[in-house]
Amino acid sequence: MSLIIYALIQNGQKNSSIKKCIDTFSEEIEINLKIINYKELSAVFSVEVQKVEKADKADFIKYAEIIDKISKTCTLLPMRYGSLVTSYDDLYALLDKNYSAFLESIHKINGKEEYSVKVLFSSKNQDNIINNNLGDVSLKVPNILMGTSDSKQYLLEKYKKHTIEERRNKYIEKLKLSFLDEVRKLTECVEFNKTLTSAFIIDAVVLIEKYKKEKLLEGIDNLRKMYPENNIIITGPWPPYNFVNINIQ
Amino acid sequence: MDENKIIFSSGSIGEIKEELEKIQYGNQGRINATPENVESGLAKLVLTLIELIRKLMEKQAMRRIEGDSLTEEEIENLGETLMKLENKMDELKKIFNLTDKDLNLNLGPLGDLI
Amino acid sequence: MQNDFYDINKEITILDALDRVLTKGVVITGDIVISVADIDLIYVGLRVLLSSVETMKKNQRLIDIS
Repeated sequence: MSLIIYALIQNGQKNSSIKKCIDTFSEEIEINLKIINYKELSAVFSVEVQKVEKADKADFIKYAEIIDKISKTCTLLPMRYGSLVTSYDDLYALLDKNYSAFLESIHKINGKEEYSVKVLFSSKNQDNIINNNLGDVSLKVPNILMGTSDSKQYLLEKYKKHTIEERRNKYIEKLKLSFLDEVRKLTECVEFNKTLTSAFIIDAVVLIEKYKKEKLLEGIDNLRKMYPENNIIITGPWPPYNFVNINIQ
Repeated sequence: MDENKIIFSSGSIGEIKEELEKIQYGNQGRINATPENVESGLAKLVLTLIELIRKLMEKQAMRRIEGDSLTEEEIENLGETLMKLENKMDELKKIFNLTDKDLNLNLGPLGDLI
Repeated sequence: MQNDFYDINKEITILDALDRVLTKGVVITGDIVISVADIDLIYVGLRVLLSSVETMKKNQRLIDIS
């Protein structure tokens, strides 16, 4: 038996409306969602009688959808896909052992939502964009690399590439600071994901109170005005996946 | 997800989508050793580490050049060494049928190695 | 045209959601190895990298889905 855990929530006055939402939703997606309570915490989970044999994209999407749906009714700690225990005892043990960490996290994110802000280089004129922003400087060849030997030619090529990369990094740093200027007006909860392809300038997530959404949009629009020609996208609201850094011991 | 979560976008949304697809998890480096591929799996691991060190050396060399602290002789040696190392790596990559993209490791929560 | 645009938006939403559900959120998968055949995914928790598989089997639940 596997208990697939989707989210942890704080129980309280909203209990009945959450229960109702989960029951209705269960029927809709044909997964029987259940809730158990432990002190102030509740876990939302489903029971798989058979061993989970295979998982694919559709399962991941469904998992995300369930969390998303529940997050519409209350503040929750989203679990990562693959969060399963094999008995009710283990589930209670999990809640008991990490009770204070879970509760603390829930308080931290209470009433807040996660938004993702991505800024990417447009595929055209990347160098021009950087040069326009940082000022055009022609490459200065260090004296030591003047010469015609193979070694020097080789190092010079490397050096040119290195300089371009440095300028690119400088541009990214500058944009990042401008971005931080804008969002720090709204929240201290900002995280940068490691940028995974060279097109990425920033891949950030912010946690803000619901009512600050419009302010965030304004801030990013200011950023767009300062650095036009980049591709920008904001998605959200998401459950606070990036701000529940708990590792179960 | 039946809901559209995009609340703001500027520039080319098509390009954004292409980039996001590139980083989907299926495309990331992994070492999956089976009896059939264990040799290339091991080569991949070893070459990844060598490549990491080679890149660090290259970076360090550029800093030294910028700092203007190298003699004529050192420059010649440095260039030759790095050049040979890179050529050797290219040879090894060919032998084991690996691309630059293969020479990286996904360290889970720590992100990529290189 | 209208449809294309809608599809791209939906695609992006899904990609962003997958990224979250597979790499973020509260982790109890630090103890678990999942290998998913269909989209060739492996998530290896940090501790899995650091501890040998043998000790892991002794101390923790090892779930291998594939």
